[in-house]
Amino acid sequence: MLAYRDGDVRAFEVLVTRHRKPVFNFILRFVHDPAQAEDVLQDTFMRVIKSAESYERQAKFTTWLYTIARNLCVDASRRGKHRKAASLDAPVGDDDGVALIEMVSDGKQGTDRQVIDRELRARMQKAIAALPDEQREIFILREMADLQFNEIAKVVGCPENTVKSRMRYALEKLREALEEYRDLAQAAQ
Amino acid sequence: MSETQEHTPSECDSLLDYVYGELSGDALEQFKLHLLTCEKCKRELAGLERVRTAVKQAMPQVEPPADKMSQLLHAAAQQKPKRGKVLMFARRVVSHPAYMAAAVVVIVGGAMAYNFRAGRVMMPAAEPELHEAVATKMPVAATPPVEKTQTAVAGGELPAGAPEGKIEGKMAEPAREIAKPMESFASHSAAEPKIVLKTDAPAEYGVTRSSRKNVPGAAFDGRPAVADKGYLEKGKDSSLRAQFDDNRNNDGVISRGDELDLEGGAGGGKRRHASGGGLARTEAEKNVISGAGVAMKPAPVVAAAPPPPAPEPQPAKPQPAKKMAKAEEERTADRDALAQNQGRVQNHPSIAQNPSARAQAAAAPAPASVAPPAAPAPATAAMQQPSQQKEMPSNEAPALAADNKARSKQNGEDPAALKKRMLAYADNGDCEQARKLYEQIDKQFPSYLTSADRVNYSRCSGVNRGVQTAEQQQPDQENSSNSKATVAKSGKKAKKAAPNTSNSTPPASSAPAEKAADKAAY
Repeated sequence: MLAYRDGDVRAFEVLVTRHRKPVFNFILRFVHDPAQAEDVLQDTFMRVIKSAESYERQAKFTTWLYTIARNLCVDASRRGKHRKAASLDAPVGDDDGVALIEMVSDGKQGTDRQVIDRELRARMQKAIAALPDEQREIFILREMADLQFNEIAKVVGCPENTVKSRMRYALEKLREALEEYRDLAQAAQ
Repeated sequence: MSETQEHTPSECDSLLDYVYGELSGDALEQFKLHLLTCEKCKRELAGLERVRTAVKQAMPQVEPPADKMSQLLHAAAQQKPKRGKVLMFARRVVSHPAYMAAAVVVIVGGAMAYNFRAGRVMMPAAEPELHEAVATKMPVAATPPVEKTQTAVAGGELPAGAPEGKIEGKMAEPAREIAKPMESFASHSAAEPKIVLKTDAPAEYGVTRSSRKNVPGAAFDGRPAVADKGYLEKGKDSSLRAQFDDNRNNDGVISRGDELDLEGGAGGGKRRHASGGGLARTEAEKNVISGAGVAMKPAPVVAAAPPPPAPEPQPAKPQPAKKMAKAEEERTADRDALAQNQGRVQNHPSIAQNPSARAQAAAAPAPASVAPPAAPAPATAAMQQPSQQKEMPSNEAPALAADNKARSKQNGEDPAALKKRMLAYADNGDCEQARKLYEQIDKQFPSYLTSADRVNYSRCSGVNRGVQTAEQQQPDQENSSNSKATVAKSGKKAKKAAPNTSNSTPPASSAPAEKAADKAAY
């Protein structure tokens, strides 16, 4: 980022290549809409370009980047509540249709295994979507963006212990959802 | 239950950090030891790992669309920050207070140093000196040329072709101040002097600060100093200031030394250099205001140029009627005062009773109060003073004759008749009657008797004394065989009496006394 601030355009290309995928997944898990996630991703990097002149290395670039992305996601989520947004977990078409997330991930496994994994992913996705926003964003930042707890604390603007506490609650809920699925899976097997 | 009691909650709280790999060093080793003994942490650790595995399976990384990538790169190229190294440095400086303070010091100091070297900024204490230096330089460059000035004859004019100018501003006042003593003195002189101060220099060029300090002709208040004798004779520049102060203390009165200078100017032989307002310190600029009749005008500063030949004395310009009337009035008043003083002296009882003292008083000069002042007397006055004193009796004779006529009318006697009678008594040897008539004439008509009349009277009285002495000595001659010795004694007595009378009588009257003594001796 410092190189790009000094006028090196190729440095920005390196930045985009390095952070584009995790930021997009973070945004996708946050807004649950791939098109909106693309727009938010575009706005995030555009914000980086505009703010490059005043950038100061007071923290990690990753922290600064996810802070921008999170703020844009919050704004998009607020706007999405007033409109009907497509959800990853929502079935496409009727109730028997395939979930959106199944179209994203293309597994090449056995039929039974594929069914179990599909069910597992569906449940896990529901469980993650059911998390409160403050727990979900922390869980996503920790699992998807691989940020440390102190960095997450800076992004969301709360103490590190609060972040860990929220993370612990989120993991606990996901573990409960996973236990139910395991009982079903064991019963199915 | 015992396990939970064995481990503290703080150790179990590190489980989350351990799962996500944020423990390191001693904390990691310590938690591993704790994990070996804590069954609860073991169970939670197993559950968290299963959840993470399920989440990774349920939430695979999604690849963003590539079409947005090119748009971002294009936008980044279009809006790349235009910051150079200078801007980066400036930004870093501005961002830090210490850098900011240092930058302010450097910028301000540099600006002051630059301005100081360029001469735009001066220290406050040196500012007046700068102004003085500037004032010293500028007027010198703008000073009009000063011509050498010729000292004119009293009442004279400038030589033909000499430029004339008006006295304006600061020059006008000193001209008037100089003119005052000159006018007062001019009333005592027969010829009316004229003061002509001429200059081509404008008033604003008249005096610079430096020239004010050094040249007496350009005082701080614009008054030209009147040079005194020492300056006129020696022309020393070093004593100009002291001379100026002396002249100021004397209220600008011109000293006697100026008279000598004016005499030379009146003779047309001397030349003095004068300048208007003390414009510079060159020889040609030294101010010499030498009294009445001095023409003062600026001359070009040509120090090396020889002085032009002395011009012929110029005829006096006609004086203004007002000035002449004033001088005439003062002259008449002086004549009256002189006549009154002479009458007062000769009518004094002590002098009236003593003929020799009266004669001395008559021969004495006029009182000092009537005489023109000696200190401000210019050269013209010095020249004309003797002639004035000589002409004074002739000028006063008609007035005295008129006075005697008036007294004769009052007394009903004619002094001429009395004088004739007195001379007749004296010729006949009746000195007693002659003395009475003489005293009567001298008392009633003090200025009527002349020195010749006094000689006749003295001769009569001396003959009388000699006759009386001879009559007294006749019995001695009869008794004594040596009459020559008696005559010699009587002659010695007469000679002894003569010096005594000569001490108290004027020389004019002592000679007849000696003759009378000689007669008595024979």
